[in-house]
Amino acid sequence: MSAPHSDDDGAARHLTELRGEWFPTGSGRATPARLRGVGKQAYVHEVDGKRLLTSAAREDLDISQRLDSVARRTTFPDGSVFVTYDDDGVDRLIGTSDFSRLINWLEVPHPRLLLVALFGIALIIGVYRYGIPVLVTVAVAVTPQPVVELVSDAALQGIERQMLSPTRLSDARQQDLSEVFEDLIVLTSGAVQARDPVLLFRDAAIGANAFALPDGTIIVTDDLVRQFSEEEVAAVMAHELGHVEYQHGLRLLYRSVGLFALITLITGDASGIFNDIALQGGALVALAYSREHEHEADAYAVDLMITAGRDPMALATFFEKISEETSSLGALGWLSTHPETDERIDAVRERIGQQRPVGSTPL
Amino acid sequence: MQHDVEFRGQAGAYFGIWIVNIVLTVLTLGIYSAWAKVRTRRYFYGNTFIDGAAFDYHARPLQILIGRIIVVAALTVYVILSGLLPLVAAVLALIYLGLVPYLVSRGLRFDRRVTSYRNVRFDFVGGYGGAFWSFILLPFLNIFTLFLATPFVTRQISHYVTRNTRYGDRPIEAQMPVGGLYGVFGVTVLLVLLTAGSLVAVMAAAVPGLFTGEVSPAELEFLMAQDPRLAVLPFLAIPIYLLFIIAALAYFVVGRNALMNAMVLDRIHRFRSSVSITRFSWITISNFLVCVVTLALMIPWARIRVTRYMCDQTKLIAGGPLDAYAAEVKQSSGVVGAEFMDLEGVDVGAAF
Repeated sequence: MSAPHSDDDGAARHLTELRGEWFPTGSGRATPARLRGVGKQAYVHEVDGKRLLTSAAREDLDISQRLDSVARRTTFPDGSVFVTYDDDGVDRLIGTSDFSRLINWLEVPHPRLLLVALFGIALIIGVYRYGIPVLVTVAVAVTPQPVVELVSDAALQGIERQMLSPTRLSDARQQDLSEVFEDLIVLTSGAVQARDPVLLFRDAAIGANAFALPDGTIIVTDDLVRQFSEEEVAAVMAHELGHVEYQHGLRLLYRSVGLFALITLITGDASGIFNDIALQGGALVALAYSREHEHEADAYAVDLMITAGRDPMALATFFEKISEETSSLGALGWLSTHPETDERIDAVRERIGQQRPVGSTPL
Repeated sequence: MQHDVEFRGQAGAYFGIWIVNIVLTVLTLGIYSAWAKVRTRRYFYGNTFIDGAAFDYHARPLQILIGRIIVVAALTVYVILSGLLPLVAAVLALIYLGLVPYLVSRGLRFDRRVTSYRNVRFDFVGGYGGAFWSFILLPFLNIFTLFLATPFVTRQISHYVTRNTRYGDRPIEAQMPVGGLYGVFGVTVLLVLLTAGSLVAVMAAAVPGLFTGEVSPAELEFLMAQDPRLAVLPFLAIPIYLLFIIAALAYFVVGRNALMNAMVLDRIHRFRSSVSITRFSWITISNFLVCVVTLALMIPWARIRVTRYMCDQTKLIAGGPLDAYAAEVKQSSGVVGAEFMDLEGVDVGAAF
């Protein structure tokens, strides 16, 4: 080894051996080493010297996957490790799995990475637009009734504590409205009836409003009953039954779970304020989503009122009164959770136009 | 001899790894997430160098996948039971709570054992009792001090995490001072009181009767609709939020510096951490804003940036040549392959 190698010799050597460091099992003592492949065997020798450090059949070697410029680790059956930064050499001499090669091919900075990124963005949008809604529908369908009741009980306890107090309406008034409610229930689908909806009256500081819980419980506030006609209250009840029919409460819940999973996937396990704020953004999207739910419930209410032989326009007049009476403190409660009243009035009118039984005279 | 901690990761290369991880995780309905974690960790560890040698991450994706499946299964059992048999579910919740210290200690052990430097694995010897005291009992007792003992809780957690860590079979000692943490704590309390006090004064002047209960929330909403100037009231809370964010960042920075500066490996090697509160806050907040504006696409860049800064501000003051030292260290027996699975999910944010 006294004379320097010729260039040809060096190049040939480079093709058949790797330079790196060799560590005995569990030891931090590094030895400069070279790895050679001969037939099906792999040998590690000292770089300066002929001493054989370890050897094994190539198929028994455990090679870490290629990953940008990170060191490649080749673990021998005896536990000793050969470490090198010669990625191409490792792939050529010891080999690498097709899977590993594909992943690396996709990952490396290259113009094609732009396509991968665009595909990734399209995929995320696709999951958001189509994947999550499908999963939500499936999840809602397979949720057992006891779970629905549990979720509803918890939600009811929460809002009872925060903003509800016992009703101050007379028994007679409650009785009248309960009958109206029962008359509507009879006409609803089997899915709603199976939930056995219950009507509750509560006094609330938030003014005229109504809520529907996933298990079919519907809460009507005293202000709603006091300030609006029976027909209008019936329309609001029908609207809330729409939420029960379409399972909007559960859908919103599952949707937020799906969104949480998606955001966590993008922001990774290193959580931080970005994750937190992104989830707040998710809550805003949920609000926009609930607007869509309101429109569905409105359409349902119009249909149910017509079927019940009641005046579907009561829903529109309810919206009108509420938007006119913005100076009344009571109306603000409804507006904060039910925006875009004008648009909804128009939608109700349109729906009534479509649904009017043939032969009836226009109003 | 002082060694830099050098981070060689590049935003471009990590972007590729990150986006492919997301695509494959979505396409495999989450299964690839275990492989994604290993690739991410290997990239960050493998690009962190001290004295020319990099760290390495050895976890097997299948170990992580099994751990994740068990966690998902346990949660599913709980959700189903809570619907069908609430009483059994309540008992199960207690059992799960009792498991937390176990999960924390085993999670730390897994994390350490799959990490190596110069082919020598780290180890963790902390047990259930220490984790229970540090993560559950002490934080609970802290409530009765009105959270005034929070820096001591932070110190106990840091001690549990670092003093039980081993490099090979070599121990790490640390006696973390709490003075700096109390400084951050005191300044924060003072600033919050001052800011909140002046905000309350402004609001009380703008809406007389707001804090005496004469004005209900509904009425306040009405008044705000009437007078557009009052619409700024909700935004007055922003300074408080900002204050809390910066206070949390400062607390983290001061804690990290205090801990690392107190750490001694094997009685000979020391560490120096000189992370600056202003610089770290700037990096974190600007990272966040950039990620929001670019709809999360700059997350890889942001992560590389903060990691590089943290490494730049960390030094190892070696008591002797590191290669010769590593050659002497014995790896704890049974460290390799002893772990059945990765009991992750309980991230305690160790500084190490």
